[in-house]
Amino acid sequence: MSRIGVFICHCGENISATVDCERVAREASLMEGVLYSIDYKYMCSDPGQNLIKEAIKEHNLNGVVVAACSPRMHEPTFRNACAEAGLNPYMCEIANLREHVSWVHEKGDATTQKAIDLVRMLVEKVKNNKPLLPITVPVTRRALVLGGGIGGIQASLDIANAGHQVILVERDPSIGGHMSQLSETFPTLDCSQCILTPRMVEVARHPNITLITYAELESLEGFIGNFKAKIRKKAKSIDEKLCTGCGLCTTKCPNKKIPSEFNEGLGTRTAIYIPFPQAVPNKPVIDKTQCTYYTKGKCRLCEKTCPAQAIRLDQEDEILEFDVGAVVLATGFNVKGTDFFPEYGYGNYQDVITGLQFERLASASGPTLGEIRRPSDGKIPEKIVFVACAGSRDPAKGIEYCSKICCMYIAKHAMLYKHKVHQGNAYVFYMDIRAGGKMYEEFVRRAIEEDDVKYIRGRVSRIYERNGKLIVKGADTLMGGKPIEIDADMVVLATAGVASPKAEELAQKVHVSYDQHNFYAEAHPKLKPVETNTAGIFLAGSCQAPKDIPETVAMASGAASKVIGLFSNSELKRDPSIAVVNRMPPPTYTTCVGCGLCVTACPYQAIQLEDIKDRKGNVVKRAAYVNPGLCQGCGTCVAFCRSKSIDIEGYTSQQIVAEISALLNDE
Amino acid sequence: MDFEPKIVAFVCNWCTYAGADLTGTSRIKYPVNVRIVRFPCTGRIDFMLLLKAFDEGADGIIVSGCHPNDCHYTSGNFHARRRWMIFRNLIDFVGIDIRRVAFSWVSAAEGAKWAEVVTDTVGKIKELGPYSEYHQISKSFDGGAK
Amino acid sequence: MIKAMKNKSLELLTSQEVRVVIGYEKGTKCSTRPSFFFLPEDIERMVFDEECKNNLAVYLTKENIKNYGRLAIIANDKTLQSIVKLISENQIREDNLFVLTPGSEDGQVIVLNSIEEIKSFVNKSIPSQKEPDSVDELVARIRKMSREERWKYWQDEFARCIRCYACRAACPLCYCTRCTVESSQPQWVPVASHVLGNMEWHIIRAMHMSGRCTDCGACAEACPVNINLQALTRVVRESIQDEFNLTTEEYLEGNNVLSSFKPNDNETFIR
Repeated sequence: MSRIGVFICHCGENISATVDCERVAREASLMEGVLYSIDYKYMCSDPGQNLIKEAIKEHNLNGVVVAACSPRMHEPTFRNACAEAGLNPYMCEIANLREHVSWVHEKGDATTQKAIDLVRMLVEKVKNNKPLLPITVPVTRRALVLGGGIGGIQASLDIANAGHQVILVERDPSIGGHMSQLSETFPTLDCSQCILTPRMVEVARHPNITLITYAELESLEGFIGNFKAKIRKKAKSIDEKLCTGCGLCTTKCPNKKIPSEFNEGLGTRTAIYIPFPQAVPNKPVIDKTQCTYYTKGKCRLCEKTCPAQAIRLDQEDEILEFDVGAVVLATGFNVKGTDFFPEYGYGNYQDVITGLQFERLASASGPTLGEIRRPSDGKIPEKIVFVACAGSRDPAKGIEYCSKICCMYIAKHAMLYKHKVHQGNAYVFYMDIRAGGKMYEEFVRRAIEEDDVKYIRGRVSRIYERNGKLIVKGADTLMGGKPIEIDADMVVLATAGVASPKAEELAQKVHVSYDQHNFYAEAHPKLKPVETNTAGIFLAGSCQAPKDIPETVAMASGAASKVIGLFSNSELKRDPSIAVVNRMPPPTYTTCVGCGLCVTACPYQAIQLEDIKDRKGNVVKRAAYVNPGLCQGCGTCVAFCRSKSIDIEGYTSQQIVAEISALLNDE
Repeated sequence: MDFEPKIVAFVCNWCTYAGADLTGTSRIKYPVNVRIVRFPCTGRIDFMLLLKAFDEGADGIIVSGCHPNDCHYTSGNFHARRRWMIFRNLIDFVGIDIRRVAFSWVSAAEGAKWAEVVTDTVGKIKELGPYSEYHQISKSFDGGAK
Repeated sequence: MIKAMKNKSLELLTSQEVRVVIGYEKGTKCSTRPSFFFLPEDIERMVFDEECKNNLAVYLTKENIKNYGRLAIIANDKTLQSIVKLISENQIREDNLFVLTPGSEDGQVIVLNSIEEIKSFVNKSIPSQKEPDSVDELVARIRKMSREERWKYWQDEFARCIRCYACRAACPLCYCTRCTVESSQPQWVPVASHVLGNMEWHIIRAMHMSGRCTDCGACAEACPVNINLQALTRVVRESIQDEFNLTTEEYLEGNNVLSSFKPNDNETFIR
């Protein structure tokens, strides 16, 4: 039996000026199932709320309709009031008489009639409401951070400093990421390593951080608060406990000509190697694809050399398992290689390099110890050309977006060059200069005005070699498209920032969305920039889109604060307005036939097919199951379900059909 | 008496419902004929509910949600859009008057657009007149659900 | 070919690799009808020729057939396509099905007994172009009508429907154990045989077929009052083809076309 109370708010005069509120209350009292109805000047005020609370108690109401302003305004207020009076808050519905009636229509019968219709609609809905309890999900307070660049480092430290356990997984032998490769950083020109390495050491020493390098995520299952992560720790072929990091093995390794990844191929490394002097952990790994022992079956020189006897050539990959409550993706980005550009020589000219390679040349720890020497013959270039937007903002190359960091690092590169080669000439070909950021525009102006870098607005059409020079052909669009030809000694391409090579694979493993360029998609472009549409998985840094260091750090702290917020309770309470698949007594069990359309339609991967078993444990059916930890309550699945076996609490088919029927049958 | 059509609007909570709230906050007037039913998302709007509305006596229906890429649930509106496309073609083939179903995207910032959508739809349905064709067969049926 | 078909069926039954073979036998009035062969001696009754048009896939989702576990089915092209769609909708999961189908050479019988084999065979055998048939002609004729004429045409058609649900029973993809029309809370469609409920039922049925119907025509074939129901599903299938441009392989095996999307799908009808 419905015992419904209807409460009509005048909202001062906001509603009552055009709607006859007394008549609405009177008509409501005649509706079937309505036991009590009253109008009042301000329903949201304390006396108004008390009116509701007392009526609930006095008349033992089991449903409440408040006809007032938009539910987007005061639904929580009135639901709370109901809860305080002992009525389940989900038995309260709001009819929107202000925004949808009184403020948009003139005073008159028709307007009052509409108000009555809306009240009747909600009365019929409430009759079909049922009490709902918040969903609670236990939370494992341990975070998994994937990627040990500056984003992953910052997120790990923030979470760890808040007192929670962090598992930090890095694919390479050392953490540090792209930032560790940089020479100086804009706009302050402070040395990248100097500000980064203390953080790296802090990570290694932090009691709450478990650092796992040379490792990748194998699989991730579960949902917010309750993930199970499997990590593949690749064999480093050394016993990390015994190894002292003395590096003797790396000096003895006969295989010395391997292009160094850290130096972007401009230097070499050995098969057993520490990627760079400040690496964390500062212990070598053996690159099995290059080591003579693994490829040809003999050598073992490192084993003989090692004073600590730490070499383990028979070591195998290990799979480590962790329960984690949240995941931060901080897997970073990559840059296109010079071979991507047929017009710039397909990567065949040694002295056409990428911006990241220039960083290594300019770095004091780089292959040239910080002297700008061109790769082909080691000569100091007298004329150097920087090409902005190499690939970026070029739909013909499939990269429509701006890589965002290049304008700034080109200015930095040109400056560094001029500081090191005073008599040299630096040219920059650009489309626009995008220097939005604190002290960024000033930095670019300094390059142009103080360091005499020549900025030419135009694109470079071709680069080719002639008599030992690189001929750069472009145009100056500010001079009416005047053709320009520069015989340069070296060219630096600011190649487009692109997603990591394995970004797509990882996204599929953890079920987060990604865009057409394989950058990870945030849950909302403005209001949820660090969340993904999979609850409990967050984003930090350039895996979402190219971004510079300050932005990455800010985003990482943002992601960390979301994780810390999630970990602030041992249980997570969620709105119960979610989808449920019906369950019935045997032999039906459910009317779901397990076709799986809802599984592919769900934007949150919240639905899976599960086996339904009888008492003996035999599988009797395969049907959809909605994970209450993941479902966000959009109801897309409901519209797909042919047998109407899935429904959404708070917006059930029964409720909506009752609403439609009530609205259109006003006699 | 002039014909006053009955129009129901099926809208999503996050964009069009909020947009219609903004119409109110901005005090933009529109015809009184429309009644809004709130859904979490356009993805939730079952095509059967549209038939139900005609069945119950609606002369016109407005279906509205978030613009593409703005969906609160990222892709509910994309699914809805495909479904509407097929449904629209099918009911047109069967002879249902698809001029009576108005689809629109109205964002939470488009209070003025909501007023336009309603005003235009009401105007059009007034021109078309009551949906007697459908209502006749509903009325000729007694018993069953009602 | 029938000889080879019979031999293979006999072999499967005798070796007890399957417990039943679903095939065809001679009918009393109609030329052939579906039949179940449980014993080796039953095989004698089996026939298979051009007249065997029933889509036998409809039996694969029936509870009492599924209980037999391993079974074999004689499949024409329609049956094969339905089987692939049923696989994509998780209705045939285990590799416990033997599909016997005529090969391209005379007298050849092809035996498929894994889901992968079935899929790849069907992909190879789907004809790329289809000749227009009487359903296409009807669809074209109805499309030429004014909206009022279309309404009139279908109202007359739906008025004849007796709500026997033979269309539902004949369709291999109508395998729900509780159909929408049987749901009472809410009651979506009036259940009595009346033009309102009849129209809504046929719209719902065609919509529920969208992205799933293999256009086998079993629904129209089964209709005792000869409503051309295939025209409705054909229109849905055509809209999908025109709007979303899928290959038959994508249509049969991929995600359902309505439970997937492209951000740039057509939306000219949306304001």
